Amino acid sequence: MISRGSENKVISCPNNHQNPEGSAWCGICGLPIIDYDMELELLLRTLAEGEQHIRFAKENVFLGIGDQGCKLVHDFYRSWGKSLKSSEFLLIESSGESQQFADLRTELPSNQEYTSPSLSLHLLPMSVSRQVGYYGLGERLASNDPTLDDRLLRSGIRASTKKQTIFLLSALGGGTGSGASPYTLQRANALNPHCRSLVIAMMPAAHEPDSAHFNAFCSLSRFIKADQGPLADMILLVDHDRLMKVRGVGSMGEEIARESLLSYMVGMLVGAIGDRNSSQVDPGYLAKMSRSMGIHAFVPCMAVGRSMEIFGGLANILESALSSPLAQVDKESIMLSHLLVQVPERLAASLQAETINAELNKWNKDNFPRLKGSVLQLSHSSSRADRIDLCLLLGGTRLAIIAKRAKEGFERFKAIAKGKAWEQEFGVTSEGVPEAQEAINWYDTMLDELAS
Amino acid sequence: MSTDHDEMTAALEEEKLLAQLKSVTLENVGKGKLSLTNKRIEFGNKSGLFSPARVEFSVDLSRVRLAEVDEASYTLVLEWLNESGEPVVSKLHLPRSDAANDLFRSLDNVLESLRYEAELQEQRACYQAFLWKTAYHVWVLVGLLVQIVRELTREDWGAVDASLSEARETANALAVDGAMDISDLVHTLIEAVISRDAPLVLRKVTATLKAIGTSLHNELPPAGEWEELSLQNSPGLNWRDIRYIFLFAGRYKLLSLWQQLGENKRIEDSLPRLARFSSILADKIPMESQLGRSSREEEATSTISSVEAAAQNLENSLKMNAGIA
Repeated sequence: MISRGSENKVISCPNNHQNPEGSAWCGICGLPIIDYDMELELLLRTLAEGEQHIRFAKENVFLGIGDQGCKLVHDFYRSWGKSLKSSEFLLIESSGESQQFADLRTELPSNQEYTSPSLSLHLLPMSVSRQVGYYGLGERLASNDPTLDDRLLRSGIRASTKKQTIFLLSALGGGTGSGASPYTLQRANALNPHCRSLVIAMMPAAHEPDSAHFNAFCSLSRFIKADQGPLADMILLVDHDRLMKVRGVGSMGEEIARESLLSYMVGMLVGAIGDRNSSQVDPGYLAKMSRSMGIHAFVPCMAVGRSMEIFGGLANILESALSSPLAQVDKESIMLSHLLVQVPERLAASLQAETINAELNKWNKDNFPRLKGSVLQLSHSSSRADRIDLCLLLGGTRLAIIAKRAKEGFERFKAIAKGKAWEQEFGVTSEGVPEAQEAINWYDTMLDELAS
Repeated sequence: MSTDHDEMTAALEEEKLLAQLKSVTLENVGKGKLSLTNKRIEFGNKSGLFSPARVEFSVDLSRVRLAEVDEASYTLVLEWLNESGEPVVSKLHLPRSDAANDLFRSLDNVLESLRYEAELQEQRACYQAFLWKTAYHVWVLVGLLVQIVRELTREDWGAVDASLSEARETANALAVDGAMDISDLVHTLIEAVISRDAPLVLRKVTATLKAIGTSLHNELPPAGEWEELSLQNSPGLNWRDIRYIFLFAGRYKLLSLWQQLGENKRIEDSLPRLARFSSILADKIPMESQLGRSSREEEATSTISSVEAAAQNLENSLKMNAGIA
């Protein structure tokens, strides 16, 4: 409110009385004189500076899909995830099967409550059927949910976040897990084309019906080949029966097995277990490298809590891990090996990255004749014991081998799924069945070409 | 700033004789004296030389609906509304003279002035209603926009959606009742919220607030019939005052955000500003401000609770004057 005359500058008070410029108070009415332009500018600047309080770039987004997927993410959240920075946890389940999460929902933050990182549940709306059961229905359920995109956006999956890794955990035997998972990842990729993705897929147990294996095979085919190439950067396949047999030892001497072992593996992948300051763990880098090489399916091999004194060296612990892979693996075909190692602080001096790398390279050469690439990511733990945790992710084996049981179940079940009634009732089209087969074949052929 | 209107208004304040004429005949009554002041027209007669004058009619000029002069016959037909609101017609025959012509002219002028004043009053009332509504909508809209930012800090997108919906309605009301159309900006804000990109939403909120603030500074209400009024220092709310309401609203609504974030320095910076804005507004709006009016000797100091009380009073006052239930 400054007027500039030909000679003297004047400023108007709120009552429009003119005062010499620089006056703080009006000489006539005594009201304070406000420089409106300046006050407006200050107000807007103050508001804009609030941006530091609203930058919630989620580096890690954990999606649990279906009953088992939700349980896995929930377990991880409770064990390791709560202390993770810049992370978000979203459980996606069909509304008809959500009763199992009644106890879980009580732990969710209310609308008013803000917790970081936050865990939330999204229910895919179901209109008629209260059971999903089949891959096609799960996919239909997710694709018919108009709020799914918004839910993913709210979880922090958006294009403005350049460095982001999505961890999708799901059991592929059920309908929601097998059908909704690839669709959800497809939407996540669309919402943030910069994101990297790791799918931790639990394959059905041997005793499960053929329909479960059919679901898993179809789901896998979607992850491995979508319209524009593979949906997932990395798919870590875990055979349920093998997982049940593997045992690890925690820092307090406790047994780590079954789902806890998977939770531990995810913890190692994101560096949630060791000392985060010294961790070299970068799951996004692993995902990027895997995609660049065209290798997407990996078999995890875990060796948790292996004593250096007992095993005598890193090579023996690597052997231990390789002896119990979480899915079938063909050593001859391995082309890419990622190694996550967690070394206790007391052994840090003797087991530095260079030492481990040298040992790893030698061991790799002895075991994987077709190896084309290897990545080591080292982190340190504050454990006083001499126990080393190791997670080997091996890529290059054909899906026909890794997912052999799912393929066999698929073969047995596909005749039923090709029927017209099946398409209407369970959402798998007659074209979808051969497409699934072709997708898996495509990936395996691509691996063969890469190997040769 | 003095205007013709001001002078005329002042001139009408005291009753002043403008013309007087004897030997005027009021039809069906007889002869008498016709007097015209700036406030009324009056006819009186005497039955005898020593008898007291009797007033046949004395009409407030604001009640006159018609004053028709027949210049050929020097006849004046007056129609007015009596106290019961019923129309009364009187026909007066004036003697042919310059004094009669003067009376006709004076009557015409004074009635014209009164009509103008009445129109002006009506315009003032409309303009005031317009200003109060604009002020209220600005107050509400600023509050909602800052609230959206608060909700962003908690990543509460559900609450952001709800506030945005209210903000959109208020922006529509501001475009209809007030003089500001920011619907384009609100539309881009909605798009930003749909993207769930908090920094982008903040930028859009800031841009919307800037547009409101700039609009209040640069533009006067566009309505042509109010152009003159908006330039006057009329009593009541002025367009200029809405700027301080805007600044007060912005600073006040941000206080709770700073409290939430523990930004004490920003609170300390805002309180004296709020006190200054409040003292300006208290001069115009019955706020019952506990902040008081700061004098030049006093440094404006306040507590948050007294700011809150002042804000509540301001909001109530704005709401009442805007005619919002």
